[in-house]
Amino acid sequence: MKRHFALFAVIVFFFLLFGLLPIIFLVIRSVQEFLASDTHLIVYLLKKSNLDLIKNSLSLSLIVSGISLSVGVFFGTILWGVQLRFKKLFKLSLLIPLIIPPYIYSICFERMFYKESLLGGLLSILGLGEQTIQSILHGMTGSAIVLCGIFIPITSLIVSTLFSRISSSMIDAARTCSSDFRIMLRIVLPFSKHGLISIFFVIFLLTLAQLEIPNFFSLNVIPFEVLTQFAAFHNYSLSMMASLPLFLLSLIIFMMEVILIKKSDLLANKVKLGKMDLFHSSRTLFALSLFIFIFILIYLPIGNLFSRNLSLTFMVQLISESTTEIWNSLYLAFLGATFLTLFGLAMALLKTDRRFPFKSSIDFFSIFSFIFPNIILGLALILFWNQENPLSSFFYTSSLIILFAYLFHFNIFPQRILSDHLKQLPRSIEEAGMLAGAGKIKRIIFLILPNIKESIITSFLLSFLFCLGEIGTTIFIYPPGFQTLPIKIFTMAANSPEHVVSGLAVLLILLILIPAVSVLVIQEMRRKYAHH
Amino acid sequence: MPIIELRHIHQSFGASKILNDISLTISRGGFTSILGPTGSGKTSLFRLIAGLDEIDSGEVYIDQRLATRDSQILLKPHKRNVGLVFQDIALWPHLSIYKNLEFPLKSLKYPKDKIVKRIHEMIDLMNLKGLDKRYPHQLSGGQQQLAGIARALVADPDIILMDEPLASLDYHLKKDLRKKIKRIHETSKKTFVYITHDQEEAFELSDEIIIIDEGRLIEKGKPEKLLTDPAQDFTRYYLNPPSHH
Repeated sequence: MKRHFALFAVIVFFFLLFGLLPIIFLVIRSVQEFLASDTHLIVYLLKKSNLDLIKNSLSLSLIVSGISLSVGVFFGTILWGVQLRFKKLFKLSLLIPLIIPPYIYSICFERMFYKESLLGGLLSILGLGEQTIQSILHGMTGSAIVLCGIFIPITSLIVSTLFSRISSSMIDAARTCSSDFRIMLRIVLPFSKHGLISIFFVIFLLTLAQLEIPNFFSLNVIPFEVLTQFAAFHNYSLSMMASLPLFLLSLIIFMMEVILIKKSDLLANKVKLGKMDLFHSSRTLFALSLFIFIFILIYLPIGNLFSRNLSLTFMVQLISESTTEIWNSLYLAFLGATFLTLFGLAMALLKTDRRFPFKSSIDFFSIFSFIFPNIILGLALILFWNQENPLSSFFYTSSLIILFAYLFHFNIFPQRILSDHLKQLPRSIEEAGMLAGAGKIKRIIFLILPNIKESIITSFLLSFLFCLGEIGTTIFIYPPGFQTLPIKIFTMAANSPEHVVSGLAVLLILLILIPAVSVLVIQEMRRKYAHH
Repeated sequence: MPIIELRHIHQSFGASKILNDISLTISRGGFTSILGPTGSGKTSLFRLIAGLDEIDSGEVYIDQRLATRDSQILLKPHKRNVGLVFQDIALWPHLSIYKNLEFPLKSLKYPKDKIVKRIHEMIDLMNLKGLDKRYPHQLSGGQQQLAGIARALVADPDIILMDEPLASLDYHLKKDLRKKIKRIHETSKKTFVYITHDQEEAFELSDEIIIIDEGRLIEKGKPEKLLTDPAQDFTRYYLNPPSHH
């Protein structure tokens, strides 16, 4: 147990130094700035420009979370309960927006309406020219559509997983006395209500923290104001003040989230897996709606970007001009994924140890660090570590600070994947090792890890992809002279030729898709090999 | 007049054949057990009678109505007038016991006063008085199964299908519930179809037993007849394995 506490102490120490303390420091500094300035907090918040920012942020979050949850429930139901051909392909397609960085997705989406593209051409025949479409997409509409395009797929997948926690016999019992629609309304949705509300809050918070997409469509939101004050006007105090409403909103939603998770645990039931066959007569219609959604919001924008006039020579030239950024991105993503997997494993081992008294706090740390806006984390880290002492300077001027930010922000993914797998392992595996005289570390290395290696690979890959595309925190803390590919695209997008930005976006998508597809192929081959 | 009739049922999942040319009838008001070893296709029969699964070919008649023909489910599960009881009980955990019983009645559009009356009848019948406001996780295993049976009976279905409802209970509880199920059958006069691999249960409860193995109907008959004078070697072996001699 001593080792457990030592490991836990390291985790807590890390969270304090690279998360909680910087955030607390940021809040204290913001409040101090308010007290020192002549402006009263309420007066500042009630300024029209601020109210507009808050209104835009809240409206966007509300629209995106509402639409994403509603449509996500619809598609989630199809993925869970309707017998479909190619269901696996649908699910894999829905994963694409998760791994493509949001900013790159915005570029794909916007380019889809250019007159030389397929959809843009069709719309211009119908009288909707490129300019008209651009003016429609400007601001709230474009931001909301793109964010929904990102969140609906992942919501659909999460909802289908959430619904699969309902025992199939519970649904069968309802099917003998009720229509499928009523079963959804009275059994499935109420059973999953805590999970669904929780998804709503998470999307709300992630949208609230969104910087890149509203910036792309020129919608003024709080994170954009924080960045503008910080990076453009070097007005740190206004930047801090602007981040305060975001901080307060995030904190409120985080508390709600924690309460909801506790409530949903009460409904945990033994899951009996079985074939679901709801909405039998409408399954063709449902499959078609899912296909149209995936085609229009995933394949069409990404495919369109690839089909733009990007010659091989041009791409080779782009690669040679961006070698440093590509290398920086890959190196950071690799280190980030390695640290995240190890850190996630340590957290998962503590969380799944029945005797460890603080196991429930692991989830608390992970959820807090994930749903906390990355822009606040970036600002907090830079304020906290930009001090005049050798240790601070060391972190501040090296890419290590970016790595720690990744570790703080994304640890929920490896932690959840690995702890879910660890929970499924029979206890007897470790107990048999214990009886054979193997120590804890030996048992972990030789008995536990080989049994969860697929989850370790998945954790590594997912962490790699998230680190590779991160912008929100990195833009605040990247050291001078060090740039990643997403940051380069973000900073170049406004003032560079369209084809250069498109080319860089294609490059980043390839960097992401190549490892993702290779791992999928390897896993499929392994599965086939195991069957044989 | 049979209440359930299966004609030449074939069912497979992928490459594996689950049911192979099964034809049988189940008479109205009887207590029929479907007995067979694990993986013999008992639960598949249960599910296709309830209309929960499709079949490859064959016909299912429920109360003289063609309910399933080949891969088409013509009569949806909620139109078949059946109640289901499961081994894992499957009470809806987010609803109180009262609400669990209310759901089928509301779905079938019972009038309000009838709903209240019917739920109270069921609660009395199952000795669940005072527990109706509780949630499933607040009841013991035996009480939960009684609530599960009450839910299956509450909408007054013609057929009660039970899939190993006592398998997860302890010996004494099993004995008590068996008596209760027998009594409910005798008083309700409904058709009970009971899926089990437990011979003791099948012989104590049933007035007819259907034996299946590897997706095929082996034999059907009165319990005494199957025990003393089986027509098939499998039945003889299955009901009297060598270790019993």
